[in-house]
Amino acid sequence: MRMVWCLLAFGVLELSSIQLHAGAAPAGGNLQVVGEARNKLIPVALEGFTGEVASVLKFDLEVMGCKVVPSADAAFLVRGKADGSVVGALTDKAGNPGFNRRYSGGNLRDQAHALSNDVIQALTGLPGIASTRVLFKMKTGPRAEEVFLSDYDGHKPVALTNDKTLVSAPRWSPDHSKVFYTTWLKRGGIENTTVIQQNMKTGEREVMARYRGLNTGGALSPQGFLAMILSRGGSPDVYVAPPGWKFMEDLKGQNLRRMCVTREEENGVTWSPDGQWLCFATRANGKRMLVKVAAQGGNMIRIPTSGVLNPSEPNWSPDGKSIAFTAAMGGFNVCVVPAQGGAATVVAAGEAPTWAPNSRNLIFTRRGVNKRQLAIVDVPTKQVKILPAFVGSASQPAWGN
Amino acid sequence: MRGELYIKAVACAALLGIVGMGCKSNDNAGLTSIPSFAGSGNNPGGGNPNTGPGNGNDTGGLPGGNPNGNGPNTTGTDNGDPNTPLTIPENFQEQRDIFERVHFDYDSSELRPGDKDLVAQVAQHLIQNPQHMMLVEGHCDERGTEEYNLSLGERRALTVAEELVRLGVSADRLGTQSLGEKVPLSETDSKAARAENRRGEFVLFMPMTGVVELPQN
Repeated sequence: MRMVWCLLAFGVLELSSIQLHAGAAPAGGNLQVVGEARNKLIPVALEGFTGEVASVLKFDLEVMGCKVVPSADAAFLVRGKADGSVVGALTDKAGNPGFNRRYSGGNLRDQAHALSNDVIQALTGLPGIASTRVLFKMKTGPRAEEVFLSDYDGHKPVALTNDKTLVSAPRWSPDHSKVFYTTWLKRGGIENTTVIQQNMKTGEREVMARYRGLNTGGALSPQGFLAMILSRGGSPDVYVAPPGWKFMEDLKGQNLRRMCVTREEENGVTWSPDGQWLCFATRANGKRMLVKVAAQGGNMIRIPTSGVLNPSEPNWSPDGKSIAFTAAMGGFNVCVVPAQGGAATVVAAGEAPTWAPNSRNLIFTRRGVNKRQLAIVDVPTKQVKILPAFVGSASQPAWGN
Repeated sequence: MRGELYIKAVACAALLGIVGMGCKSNDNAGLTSIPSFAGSGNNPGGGNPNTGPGNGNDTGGLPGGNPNGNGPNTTGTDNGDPNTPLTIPENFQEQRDIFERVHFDYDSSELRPGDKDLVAQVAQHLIQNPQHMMLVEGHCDERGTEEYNLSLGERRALTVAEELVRLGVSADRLGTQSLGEKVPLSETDSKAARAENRRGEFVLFMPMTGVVELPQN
């Protein structure tokens, strides 16, 4: 597993360092660009691509707010081929050149992802997210789930655990060097949920919390504070461990800070990207709601989500502006609300959303008849792309970089 | 007196490890080993270990916040040592189907009045068999989100455990575990199936060869 991880990282590195710019046209020369603020699908045509490369380009561009259309209907044209490596040229409808590039390194999928990113960068000025990866959990047996890592489109899935037990809530550290998750691994004759930190390079694992009862929701702030949901105080509550804190050296939890004291079922801890606020879901006066607490402690402040009910699983966007969450109103809806609260927007049917690095796309879970699947929505256009099905039920995705 | 002898016999059996096959812990090579937590000391304080002053200046605070960072434990539950997971001796066995399950209303962790007798039977058993230990599992139907259900399942298990403590069972023999919606009894999409899945299960841990004290009717 570790080997695969290294190869993958090497391939991507290779790709960006050996990338060739074959075309003479300066990027962005006379290309008519779309700009950042866009909530309409950009009509793009693909010419000359076939097979896997064509389907990767279509998926990527549609994830990032384009619509792949026939050339006659397109505002932009991506023309190219894959003769051993991917070549692609971008022009607008009038024929003004954007770029013309040949890609190398990685495999054809990786090269196609790089071309998609370049198209989005040229059209909008924003970096694409087609070369990112996601964590998720997948059911592998009747009482077994493992944490997986794959390309953001679900390809090349690799298991990060092999524990043959239940897992929950995989999350990245802010620098993506570590992942946190909850495991039901048996110890001392009992499963007792445990928060694990796993190093992505070495595979080394460390127990971050194993107190009596519930231990879950491990979320690391940029300053190194670790938030968790623990029931050691008699009810599930939010706790924060200071930077450098070691569970093994604080088995009584004396240096943990309890961020709330309620009888309710707090869940879904997420930090603001500046690490100043902790947001989670709770219930007060019988109503489920999102709240935030200052990192140094303080009152719970409600984040209003007007228009929808029963919010849970909040996830703060990397640009700090929005919070995505799940509303439960009969079915589940992925919703977005301004970080300070306000009118919530339903963006897709589904649950457990997490933001892409571009603060524009969300990956989430959609329940099918017998299986859960991952899907991605482009928030401003609400365009949804379903990821290919895995062997088992996949859920709780966490978008990486 | 007779009961006492039985208990002693069982305790001896446990101590001597007369019965072999313990439940083997599922050791994983990569995982930092967790200390055995043997001899789980009872630390009844259960107090709030928070330190440092909080920021009490925020407006619009909600009940249940912890602005001083050290509020009281409002649950009123003495959960034994809240830090140490229950530890099951190697020569104990797991008995899952001795006690009837309790059930919960949708989105609720309140014990149903009709289920209090079931919990009372469990309490009586644990009081009469003081070496036995109990893990209360909380389960949910699939209508909540996964993270919400994980916390709701724990809340359900804790509600049952609180009732056991109220009836006189020592908290340091009790553990709680949420399975959220992960282990449904029925995967049928029906009202009846969902009602069956919203449950608390009693997992009894007792010595391999044991004598169980039954109520004297």
